[in-house]
Amino acid sequence: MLNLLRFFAKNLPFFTWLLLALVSSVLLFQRNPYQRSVWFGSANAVCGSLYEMSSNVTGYFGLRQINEDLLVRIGNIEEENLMLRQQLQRYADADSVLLVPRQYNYQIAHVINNSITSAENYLTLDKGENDGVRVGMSVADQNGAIGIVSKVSSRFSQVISVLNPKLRLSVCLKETDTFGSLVWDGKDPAYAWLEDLPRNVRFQEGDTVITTGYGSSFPRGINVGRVVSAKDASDNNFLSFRIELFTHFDCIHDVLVIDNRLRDEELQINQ
Amino acid sequence: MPALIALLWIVISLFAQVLIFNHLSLAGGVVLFYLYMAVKLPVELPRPLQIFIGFIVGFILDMFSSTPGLHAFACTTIMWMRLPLLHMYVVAEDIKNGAPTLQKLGFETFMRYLISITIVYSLLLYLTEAFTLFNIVSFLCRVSLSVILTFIVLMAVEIASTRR
Repeated sequence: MLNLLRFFAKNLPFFTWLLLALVSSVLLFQRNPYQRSVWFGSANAVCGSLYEMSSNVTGYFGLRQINEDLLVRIGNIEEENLMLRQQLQRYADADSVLLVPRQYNYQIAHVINNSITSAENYLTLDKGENDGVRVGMSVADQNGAIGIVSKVSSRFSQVISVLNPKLRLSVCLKETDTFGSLVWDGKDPAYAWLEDLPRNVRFQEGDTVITTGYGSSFPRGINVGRVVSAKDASDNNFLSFRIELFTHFDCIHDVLVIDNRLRDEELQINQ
Repeated sequence: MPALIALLWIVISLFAQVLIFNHLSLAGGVVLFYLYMAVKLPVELPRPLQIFIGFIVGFILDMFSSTPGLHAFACTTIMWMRLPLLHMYVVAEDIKNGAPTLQKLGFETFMRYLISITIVYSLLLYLTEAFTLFNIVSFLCRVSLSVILTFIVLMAVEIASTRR
């Protein structure tokens, strides 16, 4: 017994390392980012407040680019709005079309921390449970999809970014509706892959990729990116596309948190 | 007093890492500024305490980047290995207390010591990260660029703090 204790005492540095390395490994190998405690992520009160302070300064960077993107977006929406108005005019008598309840609710939030350099990237937003943000809500900005809320504390929330291999987003080609999953390969924050497409899919370079609305987070039709090239995976029957993402992940400041009011109902029926 | 200064350094380098250096990257390579703590922590501190400090620093970094366990593992391990690495170049009797500095070790030895810590740490960090995502090109890119950037910045800080 004494010998054992002496052995421990002599190798104390090693055993300290072993114990702490084991603790780290346990944390490391919890696979599911949704199951971790909010304390392990950047949405906790301490990290959140610090990031909020620093974003008060850095929030002014890159505003010219954002302003331009916003104007383009407003232009598109204006155009679409006008078209829809004209169509609606034709149905003006049948007022039943106006009674469709609003399924999605949009809320503005500010990004207070963002990373694009890690293998797994997350963002932190300055809105939390108190503002009605819940786990599973989708996040987008004027250019396109950004990610899904994975953690909320009372004042902050953490978003798992499209630039994170743990997120597989259900997306489709706008023209043909063929769907697959969007996955990031960890290399370039401007590109991702659209995987699991059937081989016979018709496509052109430059085709737009949008969200499908499956999975009850994103509404259908949020822009994601455009097809750059196709890659033939010889080992299976699927095709992959390299996608240029519309979202400038290095320059995100203000985002929309999208709440699907029917989410719980949709999830229930999918179980 | 030296302990207080060491603590202050740790806090400052954590702030600098989280708020500045994490946001500046060159093709995936990042300046790992907090390694300054692993380089400069006084050698006479009990080794278990050094390892524990490494764990805490890593854990805090993980909180900020939402990667539980990643930095904690790498920091714990580098703190365990720092003295063996130091003693590869310096006889243990020559440096009994205080921080290993440029002045005490001399230019060449300090450079070797610094580059060994940077290389070992970058390998540890990016290999652990590779459990999530492995891609040989980006791995090599990240390791080599991080080593070079970190080495340059830490060497600059050390030289600047010696000239007084």
